[in-house]
Amino acid sequence: MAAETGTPTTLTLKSNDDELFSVAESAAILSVTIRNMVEDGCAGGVIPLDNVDGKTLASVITYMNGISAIPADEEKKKSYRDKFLSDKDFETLADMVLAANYLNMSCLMDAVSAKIAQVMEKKSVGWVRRKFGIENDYTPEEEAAVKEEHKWTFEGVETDDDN
Amino acid sequence: SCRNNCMIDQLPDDILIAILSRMGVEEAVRTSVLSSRWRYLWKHTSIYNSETLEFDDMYTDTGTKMDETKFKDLVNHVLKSHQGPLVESFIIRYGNVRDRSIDIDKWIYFAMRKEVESFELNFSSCDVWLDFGYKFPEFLLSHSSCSTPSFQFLRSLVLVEVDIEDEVVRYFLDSCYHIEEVCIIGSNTTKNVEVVGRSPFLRELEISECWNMQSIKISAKYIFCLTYQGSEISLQIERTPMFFELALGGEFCESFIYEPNKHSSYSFQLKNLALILQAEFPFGRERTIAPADLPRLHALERLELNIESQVGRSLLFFTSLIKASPRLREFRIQVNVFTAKLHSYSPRIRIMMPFPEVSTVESNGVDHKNLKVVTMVGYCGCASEEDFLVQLSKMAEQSLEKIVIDTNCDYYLNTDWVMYRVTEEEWEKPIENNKQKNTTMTRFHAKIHAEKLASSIASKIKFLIT
Repeated sequence: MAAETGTPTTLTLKSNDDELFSVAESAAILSVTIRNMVEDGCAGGVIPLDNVDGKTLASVITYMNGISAIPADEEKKKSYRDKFLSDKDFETLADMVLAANYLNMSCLMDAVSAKIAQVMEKKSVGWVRRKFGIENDYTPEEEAAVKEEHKWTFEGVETDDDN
Repeated sequence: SCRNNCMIDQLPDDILIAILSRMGVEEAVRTSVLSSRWRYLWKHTSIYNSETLEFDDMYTDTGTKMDETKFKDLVNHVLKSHQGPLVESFIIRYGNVRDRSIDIDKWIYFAMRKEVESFELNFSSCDVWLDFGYKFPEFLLSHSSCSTPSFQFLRSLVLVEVDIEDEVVRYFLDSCYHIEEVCIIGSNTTKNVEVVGRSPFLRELEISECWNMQSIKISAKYIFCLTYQGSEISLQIERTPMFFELALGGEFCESFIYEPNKHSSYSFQLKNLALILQAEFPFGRERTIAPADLPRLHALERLELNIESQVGRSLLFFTSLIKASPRLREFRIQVNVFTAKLHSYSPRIRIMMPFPEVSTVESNGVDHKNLKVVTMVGYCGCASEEDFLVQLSKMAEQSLEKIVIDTNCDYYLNTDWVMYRVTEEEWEKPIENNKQKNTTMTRFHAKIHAEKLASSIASKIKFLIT
């Protein structure tokens, strides 16, 4: 369609808090969810994205535009992703991973999951609980039993005494 | 610190599992202690259902060699928690083995239980002195039947630094109906290997660096390719209509060149041949006289030589192999020349060269009709390389289309210069402080030299210089 008219097609995306965004179709179809809607002919009007809020969608669109502007060069794409995610706090990352999952964007999903995983790795149990707001519902006995079961994974990891 | 709404537990399970999947196994399992919700999440990461399992203690996530016990714990953990009914490919590369642990027996049993098709047990270690000699557990196989686990679906077996008895090799060759590829490297207990055609699909066999080998006997309809590197053995190949590919290395490789009659029962049918000729020092025999007979390579289409030599040593001897292969289309030679490093180790060591020096005259008078592509790897720009390439271009004047010169060689890994046209005396002198002498040159100069050579050879031949 775009090729026939010679002008790039633009799509309008609507967030769940009713913000509207314009984005080039070529960038938007990085999302398999959006691509399917386009192929099914739903792209005529506005594409509603019921599970993404405006703030997150703005961020995802920035990513879509940024990554699709880079030619097929995995190195450059990777460094763009790293830079894009470098200043995001956990709340933003959590919203992004949910959005990437909903929009079916594997490259963003991979990058954000890896980023969160990276924050959790090599950290003490207490640190991870505090950082990510995980409530420990184990009894001390249960916790000790789980720890004993996977003893080998705790070797050489710092322990904390305030959990 | 974090605001209240920064809660990872707000994310659904499948997202948490996606996050855990991006961690190392050990890290993911450790999250089980966070809270009861996290207790079994790790079990849903893909590795526990994966049909391909690969463990390598050298190439870990962190890029460092994994601690021996930790590696064992990791493998044991994944195998224990693995839920998939089948594993297609199971690879263990473990260079740090130091005991005859029964853990390894259990890994093999796992492979049998999950009906693997491709199995690799690789204990090759950088440190040969740590070689602990793991022996393949025969008892696992002796009780196997239709109802108990066996290797009945195995297609590919690779064992490196695993001592395997002849009876066990026979089990794999005779009892695994689907077996296509068997590769045994560095086994001290393998002596006589016999392929007698009970496994209809066997196509490739490799036996390398098994220093107690005495014989290989092959009589199998579909065998396609044999690789053997090691000492002299009795090699018997017969009734193998599909046998087209041979790679030889070690002492036995010399036998192929110098005792062609011993190999005449199969050499005539080879299409691909690779020979690895190594210099021997301080023992071994020196080859100074060209053999009277040539191997019979009537069907050969591709010849690959990997030779050790000295700078300046004539390579013209190898034109005799091309002469013996009238249908040859592609010839590749990789020259590995000794570096100054070896000489500083002991300058007086006498290196026994595995091939004689012959003059241009002896290789004249050949008119090759089929040779199309010649590739030389490790070109450093010395006169003997030039003579060799000029001679080849004369020999195959009618057919030669392309000469590829690759100047990449191990030299440049350590230093950025290469010895160039040195005399024997100069070569013997130790190199001081990497100082560049008149006799040294860089890879850049090797390329310039190659280009000069290209312009001096008949113009219809295309040169590719890298």
